[in-house]
This record gives sequence, C-alpha cells and structure tokens, in this order.
Amino acid sequence: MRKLSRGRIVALLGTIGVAATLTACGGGSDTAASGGCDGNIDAGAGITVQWHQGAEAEVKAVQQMVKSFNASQSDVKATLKLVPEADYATSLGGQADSDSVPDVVDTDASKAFTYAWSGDLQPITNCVSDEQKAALLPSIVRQGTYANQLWALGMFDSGLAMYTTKSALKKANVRTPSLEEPWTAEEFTAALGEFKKAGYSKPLDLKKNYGQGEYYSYGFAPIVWSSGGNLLSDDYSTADGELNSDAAVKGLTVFQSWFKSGYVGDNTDDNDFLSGRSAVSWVGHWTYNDYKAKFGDDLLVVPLPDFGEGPRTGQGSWQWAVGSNADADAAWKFIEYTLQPEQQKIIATASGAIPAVTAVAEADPKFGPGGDLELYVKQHEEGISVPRPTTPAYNTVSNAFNQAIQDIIDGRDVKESLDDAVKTIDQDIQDNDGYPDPS
Amino acid sequence: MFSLPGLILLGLFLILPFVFAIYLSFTNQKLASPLPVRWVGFDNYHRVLTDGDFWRAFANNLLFAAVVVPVQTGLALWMAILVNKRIRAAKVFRAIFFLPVVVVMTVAAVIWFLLLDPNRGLVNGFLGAITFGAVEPGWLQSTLWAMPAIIIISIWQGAGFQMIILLAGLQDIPQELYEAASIDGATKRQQFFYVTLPQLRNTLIFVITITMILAFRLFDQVWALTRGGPLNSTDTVMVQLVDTGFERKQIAVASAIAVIFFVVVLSLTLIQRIFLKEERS
Repeated sequence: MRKLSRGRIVALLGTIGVAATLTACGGGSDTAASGGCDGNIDAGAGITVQWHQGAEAEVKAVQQMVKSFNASQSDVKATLKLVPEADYATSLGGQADSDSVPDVVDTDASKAFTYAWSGDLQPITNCVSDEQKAALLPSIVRQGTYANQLWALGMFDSGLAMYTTKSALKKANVRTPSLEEPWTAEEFTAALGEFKKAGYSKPLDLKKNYGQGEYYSYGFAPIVWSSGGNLLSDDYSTADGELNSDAAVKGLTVFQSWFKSGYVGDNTDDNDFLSGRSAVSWVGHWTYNDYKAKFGDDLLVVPLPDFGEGPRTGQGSWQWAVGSNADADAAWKFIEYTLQPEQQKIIATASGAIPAVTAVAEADPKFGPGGDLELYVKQHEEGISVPRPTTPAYNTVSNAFNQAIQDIIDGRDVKESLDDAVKTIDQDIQDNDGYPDPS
Repeated sequence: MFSLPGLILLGLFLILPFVFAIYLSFTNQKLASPLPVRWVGFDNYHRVLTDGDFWRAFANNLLFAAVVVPVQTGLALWMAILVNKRIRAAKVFRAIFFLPVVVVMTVAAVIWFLLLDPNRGLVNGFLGAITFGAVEPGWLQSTLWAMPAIIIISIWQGAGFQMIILLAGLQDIPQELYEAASIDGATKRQQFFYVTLPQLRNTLIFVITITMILAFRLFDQVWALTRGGPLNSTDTVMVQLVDTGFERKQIAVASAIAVIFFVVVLSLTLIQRIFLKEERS
C-alpha cells in the first residue's frame, strides 16, 4: 500500500518531468533564423504539409489541394499530415522542442511568431515577389510580418461583425448602423435594452459557449482598440499603461455592464441567435452560412460598436509557415499554389472566410459591393481591422488577456483584472529578455 | 534481482524525470525559447510561494479534500454494505453504482455541464420545480456554487471505485464473527461498529489515503468544465501547474510548483500514517 500511494504521487510529477526532459533535449539545438529561398528546388524534394483538422469542409479542400498540386507539377511531392485542432498547439510545441517542425505548417495567426523566435521557422521574405505581395489583402501581409521579415501567409483572412435581422431592428425600433455610422457603445447598450423590452430574453449572443481561449482574445480585443487602449505598447515592450489604461478600463466596463444587466446569453446550445432568444450575435465570418440559411434576406451584417475611436475588428487566421529544416523553395512552391485564384475560390467556399487575394475576394458577389459580407473586405481595406500583436510574446498576451476577459465576465473589478494581466505579460517579457529579434 | 526490470522502468520514467524536475526548478528553462538557460537559485520558489493565485488554488485543494474524503468514503461504505446484502437486486445495484467509474471523466464532464446549465439544465429544472423557483444555483457559472458542483461530480464519479475496494474488504470478514456477535445478542448497529468497522480498518485506511491523494490531484473535471474559474473559485494546484508549464511555457516555474506540491502531499500522507496506523498481522 505504501508503494502504491507514493507511486501515484511520483507518477503524477513524473509526467511533468518527462515533458521537461524533452525540453532540455530539444531546446539547445535550435539555431537563429536563417535560410529562405535560393531559387533552386533541391532534386527529388518531398515536403510534408501539416494542417489543423478542424472544420470538415476545410480539411477536404486542403486534401484536394495537395492532390491537385502533386498532379500539376513533378518537382515537388507534397504529403498531407492532419493534426487534430484541439491538440494542435501542444503538438506543434512538441515538434518545435524536438526540432521536427514539418516543411509547410499552418499556424494560428500571431502564434506563428513564438516559433519564428525560437528558430523553428524560416522567413519567406525572399520567396515572395513584389507582385505576389501586392495582390494580397494588406491585412494578410501584416499578419505574417515580424522583425522586418515575412514568416507566414494565410490563404484567407477572418473578420468580426455583429449579425442581426431587419425584423429585430424594426420590432425594437432601433436604427440600422453602417460602417460610416456605427452604433456607439452607449447607443448599442440602449439598443440591447430595447431588444429586451421587445421580447428577446437574452438580446446579445457573445458566443460565450466558445469559452475562455483564443476566441476571447480575438473577439474582444477590438473593444480595447476601439476605446483607445492597446494590448501592448507599439514597440511590444510592455502592456503597462496600454491594456490597463483608463480608455481600456472604460470600454471593458461597458462590456461588463451587458453581463450585469443580464443582456448576454450563455448560449450553451450554440443556438441563442438562431432560436430567437438573441437579437444580435457578435461573432466572426464563420457563422455566416448557418445564419444565412436560417434568416435569408432578413439577415444583416453590421460593424462592432464604436467605443470612441471608431469601430475595430480582429483579423488574421490560420497561415502557412515554413519549418526551419525545409527546402524553402519547395515549400514555397506549394504555398504559392494555394494562393492561385482557383485554389483561393475552393478554400474560400469551404471556409466561408475572406480570400487572401484581393481580386478573388472582390470577384465573389458575397464580398463584392452590395454583398452581405462586403463589410468584412472593407474593414480590411480601410484599416479598421487590427492584427493581434505580431510578437512572440503574443502567446502570453493572449492567455493573460483572455483570463482578464473571463474575470470581467464573472464580475471582477475591470481595472484589477487588467492590472493582473499586465503583471503577467510584463513578467513574461522580462523573463524572456524582452524577446530579442532573431538575427 | 527479479525486481530489476521494474526498477529500471521506475527509474527511467519516474525517478529520473522527477530528479530532472528538481534540477529544472532552479533554472529559467522555458519551452521553445532560444535564450540560454541560466541558474536562478530559489527565484522560481520565491515566485510561486508569493503568488496569491497559488495559495488560492492550494486552499481550494484543501477544501475539496476536506469535503470529498469523508463524504466519498462514507458514501462508498454505505453503498458497499448495501450491495453486500443478500438481496435480489444486489448485482444490479452493484453495476449501477460502478457505472460512473467506467465513464471517462471528460465525457462525464460534458454531460454534467449540460445537466448543470443554470437556465435550461435538468438539475435546476428539478430544484426549481420542487422549491417553486426559490433554489436555482448558478452552478459552474457562479463563484459560490462552482466548487460544490465540482465536488458533487467528483463524488458521483469516484465513489464506485472505493465501493469495490470496500466490498472486497467486507467479503473478507469471516461470517462466524457475525454469527458469534448475534449469539451474544449484538444488534445490527453494534455489529457494524464492533465487527465491521474494526475488521475493515486496513481497507478503510487504504481508501482514505488514496482518496486524499486523488483529491489533491484534482484536474480533469476542472480543466474540462471551468478551467479554474469563475474567478479562481475552482482553481487547483494541478491546473496551475499545467497552465504555467504548457500554456505559459514556463517549465521551470511549473517544476517548482511540482516539487512544492510533492513535498506537501508527501507530508500530509506521512502525517496521516502516523495518526492512522495499520494493523499488521
């Protein structure tokens, strides 16, 4: 019996120890950033392409893409590797620690830079031609750039908006907002009251069912930006005076008031908006197909409220990056292929997201002038979308910020929550010697 | 000699990693960092021990153990005695009581999440109906009720396992003792206190010790349901450890938490062993 009980404690601690051992073995061998394209594809190059196994339609599209890529040319043979989305960050972390990041790997927006910094990715700055770059949405290039180098490119971009219906606005007698004249935060708060009076039991759906995680950072950082605050200082050296600034506290206090007034539904069945309990759903581009199928022409897509500095939205999505052990030219040949118009159309249809190539986005009637989702393209073109900080510190920023959001939702003092987040972030930046740029 | 293969495995997968954890806790090792690893002495320990969140998590662990150990053991004993009776449906009860143990905790957690939904869940629907809406706790969404919810789920899931161990102990008790007791005129109640309990002593100590260690290891249900929230009300040391090590990539600090936690649980187990001595035959 004694053996068993002690064994259990040791087993539990051992798990941590094993992980630590792996780190100790992998950590030292990483080299600083180097590499990139030299114009030659090594003979007989085979590459591994890694994709997160999330939405079924996207996976099918990527599988199709790899197949048609292999059929279209004979220089590079691509093999697809799928990793479940739920474990993706852990898997990629493990690959980085054992120096075995695949040749082409997709990464979730700014999380790419953790691996750029650790030397597990190589920059693709000299792979992309100027014309290729100019054809992309500016937001795509911005999301892939860190330390004056281009590290990653997405096949598509994301966006946030609020979905509502014409009939709900009419019923509650609320005006229709636009990008030129968005709802102000006060106006929106008042509108929520009107919706409630009009019979919507939980007028606002904030996708609380997604739970604390990257979505909370992505979905609610726009409140901080729109209020005049920021997640980090412009040089990414500190969060103090930015994330806990009076402006940010003010904006998030309004956010908290929606919970205190009982406007926000828990959305446990992910059905608050569709079933008519909510009048407004604050979420990303990915719910459009479902909502459109239900509400048809009654559906409206409107910008997030203006907290003082104009509306803001998140941007950036999964993006391709190149592992440090790869032949960058072979890897780039594949990435380049995914940015061609036909492939762009396929992935945009499958994901419902905004195609990375501006011309493709504009040619799609959904995203074009007068289309339901024109707002998403306009937000990117007019600088209303803000990238999550493109720094290796982002991982910590996101964890600390979404913890603060969770605390604010749970009713904790806004200033205190943000001060705590700032402390965690600044401690991390200090622990990592300010994240010096890879040389 | 015969234990050599076992010892090698233990050494490789348990002892060596733990020695590593002790070593790492004195450095600034991080996951995926190109910076050189430095010796930092007791900095990590200082950081953990002065962190209010760590103590909050530790207090939650203590509270959880203080409730779960007696309640779960008591419940398991009651169930074991019930299914040990020679009644017709005993085997059916035994299966029903053991069923939650077979369910994977993360799966059970998802189901409990829906049951405990404050507005549309079955639990509040029932409570609301029998109290005419007077008692409808916020459960996992409320700082006051989240821990009780975790405790209820844990006991529901864990008691069946203890029941099986206690049942084995009960069946080991010679029937003659009960016969002798009843001839001496002992009531059922006296038989329980003067025959069953003393005979179960070693089994009970084992069950209590294991339950306590499992209680301190509390992680799965919290991670799946609340991630330590709302407002740290269900935070535990294990959640902190995983969060620090893998989400924040601070392996060195996480190692320090592991070492501190090891020392604490070891001392609690030792204290328990002093007060609850096993009888050796």
